[in-house]
Amino acid sequence: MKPYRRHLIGLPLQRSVFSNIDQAPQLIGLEGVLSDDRLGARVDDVGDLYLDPNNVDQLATAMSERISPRFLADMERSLVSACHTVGCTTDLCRARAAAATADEVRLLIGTLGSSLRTLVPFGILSKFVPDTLFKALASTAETEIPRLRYDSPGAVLTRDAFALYEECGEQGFPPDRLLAEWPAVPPVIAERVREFCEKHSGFGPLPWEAPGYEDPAYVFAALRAIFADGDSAEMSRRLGDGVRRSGNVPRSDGARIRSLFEETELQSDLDSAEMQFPQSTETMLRRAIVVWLEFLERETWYVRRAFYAGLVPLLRRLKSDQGQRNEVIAIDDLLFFELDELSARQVIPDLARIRREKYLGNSEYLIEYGISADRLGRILGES
Amino acid sequence: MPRDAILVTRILHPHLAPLLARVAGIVVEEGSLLQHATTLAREFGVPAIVGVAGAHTLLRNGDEVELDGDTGIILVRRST
Repeated sequence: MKPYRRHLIGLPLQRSVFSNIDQAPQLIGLEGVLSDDRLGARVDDVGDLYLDPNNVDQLATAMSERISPRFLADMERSLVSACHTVGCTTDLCRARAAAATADEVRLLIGTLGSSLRTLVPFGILSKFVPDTLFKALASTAETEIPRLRYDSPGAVLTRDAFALYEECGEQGFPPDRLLAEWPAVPPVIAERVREFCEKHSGFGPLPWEAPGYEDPAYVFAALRAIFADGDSAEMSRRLGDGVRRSGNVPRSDGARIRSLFEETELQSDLDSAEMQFPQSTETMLRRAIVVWLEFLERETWYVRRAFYAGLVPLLRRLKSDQGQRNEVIAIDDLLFFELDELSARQVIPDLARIRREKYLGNSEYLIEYGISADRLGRILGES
Repeated sequence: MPRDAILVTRILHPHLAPLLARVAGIVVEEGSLLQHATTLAREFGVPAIVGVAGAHTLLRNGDEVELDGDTGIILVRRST
């Protein structure tokens, strides 16, 4: 079978959060469709994703036959719950990492890993669920794709990036100068850049170690590539027009990245007694499409943010503890273990060395994602 | 990327959204109607055509390309 996606992910640590993708059908009530209830989906040991297209067709067909208000509500509850759990666990890890004991760190790593293993299969399901929902909606004569309830995270990112570009430029720091002088820039600029990176940490390619918006150098390069030769007035007009054209709900609380789990209204709807399904299948389909569209915009963000905001502080803390016990292991060796190995103290230096050699031998992957030789150490270096 | 270029890509990820501030249109190989590219293109008011298998090889840097997002027609004036 040919890979569905080549070079999807490379680090053993991240591969281990894909270990449950074959169980994706059960997450949305599609039991009994495939033999053994296992989806033919896996990530191999060089990080290529395999997905059985026949299985996907079978699931899409079965889903279209099972669509009902209750099926859609249960599916939505499952998806929102998975997002909510990853978000909360990430925040918990970030809050607890600095003061946690080694045992607590391992427990938190296991908990975060478990939440990611539940969320990641929804990314696989997103290959067919939204389109299946839309086909069902189209069969009721509705042809317009429902709109997001808020500005998309991508639109927020774009506006914030443009604001950062303009603010730094006004203070004499265009992208080229930022690239050349960072981090030796005035404190007000440094603080503004760090604030931007913190807010948008999570935007980037799926592989954790590929540079993204958490990395100032990536941000400066992006600002240069996107805005540096542009007409600021024209760019500003275009971003404003885009939002107006989108017809999305105007925001009064300032643009920020919303998470599905923040949609308390959505959650309370689902939990209320009113969900005894007075709503039509058509209404529920429209709603389900919006929820999946919003998930599509955030699926990578959840996974990357869990790493940078949750896992990285825990790994630093774990290494600090191991350092005190004189174990011979580099901090970035920790990226070459699986989550279960880290949480169960099965950290064997030779295993990391073998896996690292294999990883570094995948030069196509490293080049594709711009992963430099010192990238792993820099990610885990003390901030 | 030149301003007002047509972006041709296998798939458009959300972190590439800022590119839409400077492109005139996008052509995406990924076939799904509901994907990041369609959401972002609609939000930015940029014409988009999705499901163009092999677009990467059919369209080349420097080609003059005209898109009609309503009909899905792509006109190419090939650079020599």
